[in-house]
Amino acid sequence: MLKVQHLSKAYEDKQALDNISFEIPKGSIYGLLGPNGAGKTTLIRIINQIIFADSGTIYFDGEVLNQKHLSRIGYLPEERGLYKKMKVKEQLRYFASLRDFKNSRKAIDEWLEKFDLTEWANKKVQDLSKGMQQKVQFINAVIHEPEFIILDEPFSGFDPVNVSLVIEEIRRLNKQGSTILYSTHRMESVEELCDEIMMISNAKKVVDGNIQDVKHQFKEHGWEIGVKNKLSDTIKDQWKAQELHLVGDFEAYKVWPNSENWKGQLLEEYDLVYLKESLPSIYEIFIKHAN
Amino acid sequence: MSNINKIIGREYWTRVRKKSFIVMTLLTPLLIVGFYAAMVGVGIYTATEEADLKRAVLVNQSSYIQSLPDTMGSIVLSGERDNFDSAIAELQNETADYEVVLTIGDEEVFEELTLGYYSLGSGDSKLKNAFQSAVKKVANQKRMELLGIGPEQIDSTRVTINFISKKVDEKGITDNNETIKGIVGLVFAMLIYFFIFIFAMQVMRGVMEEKTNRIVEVVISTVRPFDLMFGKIVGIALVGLTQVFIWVVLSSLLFLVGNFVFLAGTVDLSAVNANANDLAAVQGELGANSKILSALGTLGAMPWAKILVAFIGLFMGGYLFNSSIFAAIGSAVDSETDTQQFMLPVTLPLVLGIVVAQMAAFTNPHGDLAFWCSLIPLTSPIVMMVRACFDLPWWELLLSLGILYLTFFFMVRLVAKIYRIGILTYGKKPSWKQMFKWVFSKS
Repeated sequence: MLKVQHLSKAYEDKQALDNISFEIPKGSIYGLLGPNGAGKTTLIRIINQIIFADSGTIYFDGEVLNQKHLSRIGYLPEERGLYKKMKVKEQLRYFASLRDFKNSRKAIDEWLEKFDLTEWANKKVQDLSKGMQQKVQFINAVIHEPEFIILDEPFSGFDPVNVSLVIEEIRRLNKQGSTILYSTHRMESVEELCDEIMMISNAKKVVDGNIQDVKHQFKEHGWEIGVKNKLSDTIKDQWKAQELHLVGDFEAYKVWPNSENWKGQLLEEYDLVYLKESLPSIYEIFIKHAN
Repeated sequence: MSNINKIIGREYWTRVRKKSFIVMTLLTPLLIVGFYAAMVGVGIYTATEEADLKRAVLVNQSSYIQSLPDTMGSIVLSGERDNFDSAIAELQNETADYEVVLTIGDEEVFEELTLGYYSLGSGDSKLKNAFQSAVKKVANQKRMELLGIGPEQIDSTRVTINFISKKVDEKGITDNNETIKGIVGLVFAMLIYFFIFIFAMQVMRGVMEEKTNRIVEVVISTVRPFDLMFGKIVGIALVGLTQVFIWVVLSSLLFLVGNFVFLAGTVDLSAVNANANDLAAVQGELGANSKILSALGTLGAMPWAKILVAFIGLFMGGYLFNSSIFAAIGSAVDSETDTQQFMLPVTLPLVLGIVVAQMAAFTNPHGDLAFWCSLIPLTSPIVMMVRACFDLPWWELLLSLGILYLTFFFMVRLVAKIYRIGILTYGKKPSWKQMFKWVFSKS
């Protein structure tokens, strides 16, 4: 859907993006991760053609990205707002028309219904609660049925009920064929939502790819085991075991065994409940490599 | 282009449908005409007012002034008293049948006189003046008598001067009422001044609303920043034109109705349209109204088509030029208080324009300073407006408008660069230096 090649952008005083390349597969939910100030918003603004890159190329659906692609993109910026004195419906219709989306009435009514805002349709935005305004902002970003949706910190400020409501809608839009770029510095929801991710830090790409591949790339060859009886101190020492505090009638450890035959030894000496390869969470990778 | 139209549409309709717009648009002509009616009313009232008559007694200690007329303005002299103290005492006790005690002092030499005016409550300067001029008249006559000059001789020293100021051109000799033209020019110039501020401020507020409400990022992800800015400027320009158009129509209607009500009885309105040559005859017949008629004649003979072109053209040009700068300021700041430091340098040329316009209106509308200030776009919308009310060749007006609009098209491109960076820059209070840097930065 989107292919970015060797993108660089510098502001007066600092490098914002340094030779970034990645590809967002059609139909995926793509996570863009990075700490504050890593360059996420700059990257998104370049995709939206709000600002322009110093060098590099972006392809949108096979063509070099240009002005006429904008109506096929939906964008929910991190810093977002609405015209406070315009009515909800009027406002949605205006933004839909700016993106050349004709016959928006039906779509607007459906979205308002879905988000329980029908009775607010003809109220001014300033009369809405903050949560309701955020729902309107979300509708605003997706009202024109875009093929590619950019969500920059879409959940900031939402209460948990609305978070799950919005996650549901993101999944539904994705199933209906929209490709989604989800940018965040919160890792909790990434593993739950994303198929692929890219992590950037200090203007540089740290890693990108399928979420499982990324985890394998960063695995530290550790294992998680559950045993009925406690590990002996010698074994603990040898395998650099860390106790895990899990609930159940077994003892759980994270271990980094170094002997060839450690699995045999484990089976012989202990009553094994489970054994699995321990992959780092995206959060752990983020903490370790993105800072 | 279609997106600009949508933006213009939104800017226009959200403003025009606002209650405050409707109220202001309908109310302002009423206020203007009401104000005008009140002025006329006050004028008529003071002119026809029967002033309160004041009864007075005179304590005359002068040996030169023997008698005063019985009525001096609104003062009615009811008698003379010898004793000042008793006259004042009566006034204090409120037993007197008079309200004022007038005194003429006892002077050694007849070269200066001391007059006194003692009244209950505060003194009326009109009455004091009447008393003073009456005494002066008597005293002057007395002094001339003493010098041996008789009344006939005095009369024969008087010369009456009639001053005629007319304009000569290929059409002949016509009336030349420069003051009226100056006043009309200044009124229009002031209107332009206020309109530029009112509507340019709206542009600035609009830009700031979009920036501080963080709407702008969503909008410019689909619309070029230049289109957003330009659409806003044009949309508000249309709001301004709509408002001015309604004001002109409503005011004219109200003035017409008002004129019939006020003047129908005294002045034949058709005289307003009479050309200057017929005017002399009309003036002769109406005598007392000749001054008003001459003024109305001058008004009627003014180049209204040119004035209208100048007003709309200069108002729009001045608005466009200034609003683009205001848009840049609005985009660069985070709050209204930060705008002050940028507003001053933008406001000053306009104020200077008003100063030059005043000079042009009442002394020399076609002097060098007025000429150049009416071409430089910083001051031209105001100065040229005044000059357009005098005899101004079309080419000068068109040249001034041409320069103004060209500067706008150049300016709007420069400020668009400030705008596109400014609207996405938060938390930094920019300096002029910073803004110039933005202008010259590559996109």
